[in-house]
Amino acid sequence: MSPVHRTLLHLLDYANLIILTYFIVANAAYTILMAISLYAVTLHSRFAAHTSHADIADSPATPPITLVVPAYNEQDVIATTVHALLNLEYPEKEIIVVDDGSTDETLARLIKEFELQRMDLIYRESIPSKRPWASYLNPQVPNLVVLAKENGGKADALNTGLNMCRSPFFCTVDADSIVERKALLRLMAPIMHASVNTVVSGGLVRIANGCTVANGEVTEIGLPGTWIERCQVVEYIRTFLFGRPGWNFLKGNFITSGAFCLLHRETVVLAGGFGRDTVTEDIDMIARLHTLIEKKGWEADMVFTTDPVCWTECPKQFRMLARQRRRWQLGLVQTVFKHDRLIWNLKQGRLGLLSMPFHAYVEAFGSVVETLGLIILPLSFFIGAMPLSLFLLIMFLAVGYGTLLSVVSVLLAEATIRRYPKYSEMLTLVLYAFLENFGYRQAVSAARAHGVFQFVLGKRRWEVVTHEGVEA
Amino acid sequence: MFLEDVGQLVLWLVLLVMSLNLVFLFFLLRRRLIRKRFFAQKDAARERYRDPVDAFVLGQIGLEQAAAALGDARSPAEREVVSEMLFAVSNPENTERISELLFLLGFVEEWAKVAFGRKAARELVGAFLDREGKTPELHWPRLLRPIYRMRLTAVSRALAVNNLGRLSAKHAHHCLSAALADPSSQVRRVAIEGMGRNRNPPAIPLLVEELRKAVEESNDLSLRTLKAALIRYRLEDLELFLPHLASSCRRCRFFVIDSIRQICDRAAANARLTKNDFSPTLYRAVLEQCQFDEFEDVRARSAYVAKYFRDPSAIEMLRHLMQDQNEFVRMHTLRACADRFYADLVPDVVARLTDQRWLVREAAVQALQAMGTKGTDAMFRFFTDCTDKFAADQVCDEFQRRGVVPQLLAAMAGGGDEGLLAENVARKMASMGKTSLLLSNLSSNDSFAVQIALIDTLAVNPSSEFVSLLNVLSQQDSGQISSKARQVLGRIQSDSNVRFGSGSVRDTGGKENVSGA
Repeated sequence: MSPVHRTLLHLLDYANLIILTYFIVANAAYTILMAISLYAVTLHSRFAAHTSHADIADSPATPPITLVVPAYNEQDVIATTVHALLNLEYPEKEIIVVDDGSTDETLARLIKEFELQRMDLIYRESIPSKRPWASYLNPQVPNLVVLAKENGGKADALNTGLNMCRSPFFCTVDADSIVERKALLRLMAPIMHASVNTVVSGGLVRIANGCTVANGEVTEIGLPGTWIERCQVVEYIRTFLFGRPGWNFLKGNFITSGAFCLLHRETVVLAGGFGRDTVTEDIDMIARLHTLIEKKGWEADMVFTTDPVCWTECPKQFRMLARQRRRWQLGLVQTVFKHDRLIWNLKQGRLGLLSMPFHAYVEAFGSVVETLGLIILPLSFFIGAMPLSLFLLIMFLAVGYGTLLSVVSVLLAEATIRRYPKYSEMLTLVLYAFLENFGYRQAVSAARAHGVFQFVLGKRRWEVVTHEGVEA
Repeated sequence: MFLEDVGQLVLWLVLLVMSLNLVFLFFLLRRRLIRKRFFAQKDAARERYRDPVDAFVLGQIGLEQAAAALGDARSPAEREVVSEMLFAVSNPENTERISELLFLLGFVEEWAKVAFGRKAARELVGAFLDREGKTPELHWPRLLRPIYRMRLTAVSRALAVNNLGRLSAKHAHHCLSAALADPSSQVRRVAIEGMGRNRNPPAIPLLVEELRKAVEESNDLSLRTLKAALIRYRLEDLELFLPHLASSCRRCRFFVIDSIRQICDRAAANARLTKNDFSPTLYRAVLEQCQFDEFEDVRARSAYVAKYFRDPSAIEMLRHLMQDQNEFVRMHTLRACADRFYADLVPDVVARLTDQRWLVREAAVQALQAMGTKGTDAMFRFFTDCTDKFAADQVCDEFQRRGVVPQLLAAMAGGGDEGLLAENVARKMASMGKTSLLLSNLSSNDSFAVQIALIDTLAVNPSSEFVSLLNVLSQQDSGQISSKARQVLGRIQSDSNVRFGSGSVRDTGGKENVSGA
């Protein structure tokens, strides 16, 4: 055996050991999260089924909320979204739409639909952002303000909205999302009932593809038609129903979806607002808040609940899906590097000792290991560097075990309020929970690994994902 | 050997995962079937028991007859339906009867057993039979408390307490008071929400005590939950809050006065309150005690209560608090006097328009706006004479948000003193560069008189957008407007020639109209 061959075999041995360790650790972590989520989600749903939140809706003690909606080229959906937001059940709310320099008719459609008048309203800048060049309001709809500014990205638009916001809490909402009528009340419930200050409350994001939407509301839940969308449905359920509730139970929330998230305004302002140096401003914000809370020595909480639902459209083509996942992964890696002091930080408790290491080593870099594993494992096997049984064991950990996790997430979805009503849909979902582990997950992993390489290569740009709209 | 074992291990693992997947699938299908059957049973039960429940509510059948008719509800679905239907028709008039029926049907005992255990349930049932109230004393073993605190064990107790809390206020009170000793915060929260819902006066001291614990000790209950329960009480119950206004804990005093404030706000939504709606002791406590409290939050909230007295003493109190050294007291006081009744305070409010804090300025503007003609006139006059940029910005912001500008333009067209004042206001807005709304009115207003007045007004400080609009108007119209536009354009042109450049026209590029203050 030549020295080159021997070195190659040694290298492959080490690589295989890393891959095996990764899969064992990742699967163990996911299994623990799964068990915790089964416990937390089912108990929460059992109690939530008997709660109408009428107390919160009626009470003057319920804090006002501002919904900040950054919009960039959303002409097709913006009017419907704003109408739906105005109709949300909540005692006192204001909506601030920030048109982030759209090149289409977004602003014009808002002006026309709500008969807005251009005004010179006071804008107080507490967080640096591009100043709006115009503000619009209709005195007949006083709780809707539209700001127009030059394009500066989503984080910048959110900061502009935040500067205009007056309420103690604000909710970030994507312009193409559909928020359920009671979702704000449900999002506020954990804040109202918490004995410590709660600065973040996140809710569930579900896929609207396949659902019937009328007047900005999901009227009928259904599964989408294509396999790629169905796989994403399973993936979202897995992420939102056992990843996040699990970390929430362990008090290690690190990711909250910016598509629908309630935040305490003053704390966010103190944290410096939304950062423009990462492409996922929502994850970065949570990390900033953790850092601020630790620095100030505050006792504050961040929560995630499964009953407030926001529906969003998922990409229908793999090209768009890959773009979206690349960006999410790039943002996650950027945030992990930016806030690396949180990793193994004793002062952060379970966040520093469990959640951050998990998100850094498993979620951020795991995709690289998984993708390389898909190349290295067969290679090792074919050149004789790995016996068949070991190859099968790792492949089982890489693929087979995932089927169990996905099927359990479908079970979790059954425990929530908004489940797929038809038997056929439920069985299809189980089938896709099984199938998505053979091909789809690996392809998404490759796209995520690409995001990590983009970070290594120093790319920072935001990739636009175009949507085709859901069935109306 | 090891490698062979690994191969076998993989095989077993695959089989295990596949079996577990099948088990979960089976579980999913079973759950759906059970739920389907459960809801079908509920629908059937709802149909079956609708008539007896309606007859009972209408008083057509008595307790015993109703109990006999509903007594055959045995399955969980049927029992759930019966309790749901009875609670759904419950109102203050029939709640006592419904509670007795629930008791006869065994629901009270069932819930009490789940919530407090067998022994305490027996005590509660005994008290129910004797028609005398008694709160059972509960002892939660110290060693088992961590287990009782777990959600796994607490959810069923919380749901049972929730049901017990919906009985008639007297019976519910004892159950809810007992539940306050529960180790789980979820159960206690439900008990507190129930107390708020029932508004039973004897619960007020318990709620305030829980509030004190939440403020002073490490209580795991939310202050918001406690406050939400307290503010559900009525104006007639305010007397019971009084002793707590003298609490040594300043945050307790704050929560109590804030709760009183919100109870008053609620009552004021349906009726005009005066000092006669309050007891003399509360009236004096607010005027003599809270007004001078060392804690600024108490002073601030007392202003809101005083505003409902609507008498000279309240006016004096508000005048005094408006000059408080703390900005939040000033702000809340100004918000409190946003009422036509307090028009006498207009000069004092105008004085606050130049406050150093913008929140105070904003509250002052809104108060003047709410004070009727006297307030708005004072605001217009202040605005035209104002040299303070920040105060003027604030007033202008309010004009725009409240839709005052169209009224202003109508007054301009009307002429007279009002028209002159309106014109001065519009000129001031133009000189500040707040022209967006004026420009849009110039292009869209139907009245020639308004358009001509606006052209004159905007010519004071012409922006590039104004000049462009004038160009359009001078070309499109053939009557008065076009000649006026041409005339003003010519004047602007000659002014800029005299000044050797375009200095007299502000180049905003259409993108600098949002001001900072």
